[in-house]
Amino acid sequence: MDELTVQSVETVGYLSMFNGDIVALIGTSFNLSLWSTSIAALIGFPLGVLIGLSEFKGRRTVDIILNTLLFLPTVVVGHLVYMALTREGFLGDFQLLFTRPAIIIGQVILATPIILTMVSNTVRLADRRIIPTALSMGASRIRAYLLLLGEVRALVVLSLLAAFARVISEVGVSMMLGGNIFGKTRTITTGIALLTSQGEFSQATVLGLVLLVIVFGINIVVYQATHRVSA
Amino acid sequence: MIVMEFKTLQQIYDDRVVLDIPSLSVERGSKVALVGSNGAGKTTLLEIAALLKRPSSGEIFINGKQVEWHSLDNYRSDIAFVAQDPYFFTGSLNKNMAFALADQNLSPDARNARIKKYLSLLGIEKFAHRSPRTFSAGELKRAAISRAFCRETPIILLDEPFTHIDIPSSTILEEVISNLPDDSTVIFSTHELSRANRLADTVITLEAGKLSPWTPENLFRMTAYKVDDGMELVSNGFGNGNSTQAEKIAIYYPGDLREGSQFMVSLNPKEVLVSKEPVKSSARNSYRGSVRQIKAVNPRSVHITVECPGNFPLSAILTERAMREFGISVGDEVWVHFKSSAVYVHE
Repeated sequence: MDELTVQSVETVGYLSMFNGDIVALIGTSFNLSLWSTSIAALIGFPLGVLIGLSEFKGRRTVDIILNTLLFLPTVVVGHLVYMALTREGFLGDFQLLFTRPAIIIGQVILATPIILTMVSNTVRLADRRIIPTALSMGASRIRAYLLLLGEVRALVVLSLLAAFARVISEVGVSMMLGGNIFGKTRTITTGIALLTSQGEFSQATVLGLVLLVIVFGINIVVYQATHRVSA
Repeated sequence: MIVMEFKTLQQIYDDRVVLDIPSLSVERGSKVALVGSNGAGKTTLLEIAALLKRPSSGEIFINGKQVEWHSLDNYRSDIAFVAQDPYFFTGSLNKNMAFALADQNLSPDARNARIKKYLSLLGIEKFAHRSPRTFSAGELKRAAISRAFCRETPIILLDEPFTHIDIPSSTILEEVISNLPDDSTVIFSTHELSRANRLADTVITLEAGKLSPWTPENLFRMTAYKVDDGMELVSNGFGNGNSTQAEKIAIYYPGDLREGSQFMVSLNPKEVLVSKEPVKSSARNSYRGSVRQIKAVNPRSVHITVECPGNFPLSAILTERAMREFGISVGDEVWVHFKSSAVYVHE
């Protein structure tokens, strides 16, 4: 048997076992990604609504900056946050480096521009009558904004899924800020990187397949959400 | 009692003044019609009154309290507004109406009873569980009005409530507006002068964002013909849509107009004099007619409608004292006079 066939057989073998280590990595990845997406949503929703509904000078500049942030390389974010979290950095006193909060900070920086940009564009294109109608029916301004988000909820959900997909599949931030510590900060992607570097190609492929299934699942949800909107 | 008051109100877009109202007040329980052509500022004024648009400058008072723009929730709870092109939220009409009542802390039973009452009033109870996005234009208007009215606010603002709806729907709307409680204040905009006169106690004319001194009571479509020293404006219909009954009446106008063309002509009722005998005066235009209606404008003034030959209605505003001194009452034969300088031609 050639090398490729051997690895394929091994991969199927690992898949059939689906051991506790793999489950732990999946759990860590989901845990971190859910936290970072949630925090990014708390920042991105109000700011997105604010930017989407406001008319101000320099708006085009803000749009360009936000669009640029969509393409932030993960290693650049990892590097900048790493410098902030080292003992000499301005957040060094918190001793967060190589912990889960460190990864969450980096992933929030990656996810927030996605949610912010998608929400602000959605709000900008939403029916202009929504807010005045809500206000004229006695709603407070905050309630009117929530109602606006409710009216465009499919696209709002889409922004959450896009952000989640971005952070669960990134490797730079998790590797540089988490340190790839098994049981603590090792995620699916850093696990793949480690196994590949150790020559454990079959196990790395198993993890890769798991990640692909997760992203595929997210895509199905996204497709259905967007399909409902266009219908 | 004054329920809503505007002072030195201005709305400016791109250096263009679209609304300029030095002073305007609305009495509690009154029904006010805003009339004027497209772009006259009716919608802007209503949106400002609904506190949905902050004016560029000026002050608004509601129930004597100056509106503070940083905390509007308390004022908005007194106001219901129906936009010209109303928006409905995703979900059934019932759900939309429940949302309109969300800030009123009603029990579920009381809320459902209120919704049912107004759906029934507007004749759309069978649509309660349908999405308004499937409604016709007339149904949409009725749904929007029932959603606004169910809030039972003391101030109701309606922007063009009668546009794009059929006759049965507009009849229902007129009935509902007419039968509102006496203390409900309604301000609505319309293009139809006849409807404004029929439904409203006060008709306000807006022209290019300003309050026009020309009230629609004396607004006529007339054709201009040349005479020796000016023009003669000959009636070919009334501003109130009663044109088929019109007979010719001629008004002298000193200006120069294109012969044979039609113009909207208005006459301020305050410039129209009424006497019981023919009077020799400098007024070039005098007509004989009979008093058809006398209506109080305020405790000191009355609004008199004199029907001139050919069912031509001319309105005059007199002091209550003058009316008593001259002994003018409904059915009397009187003379109406106005100077040619009081005639305004909308070119």
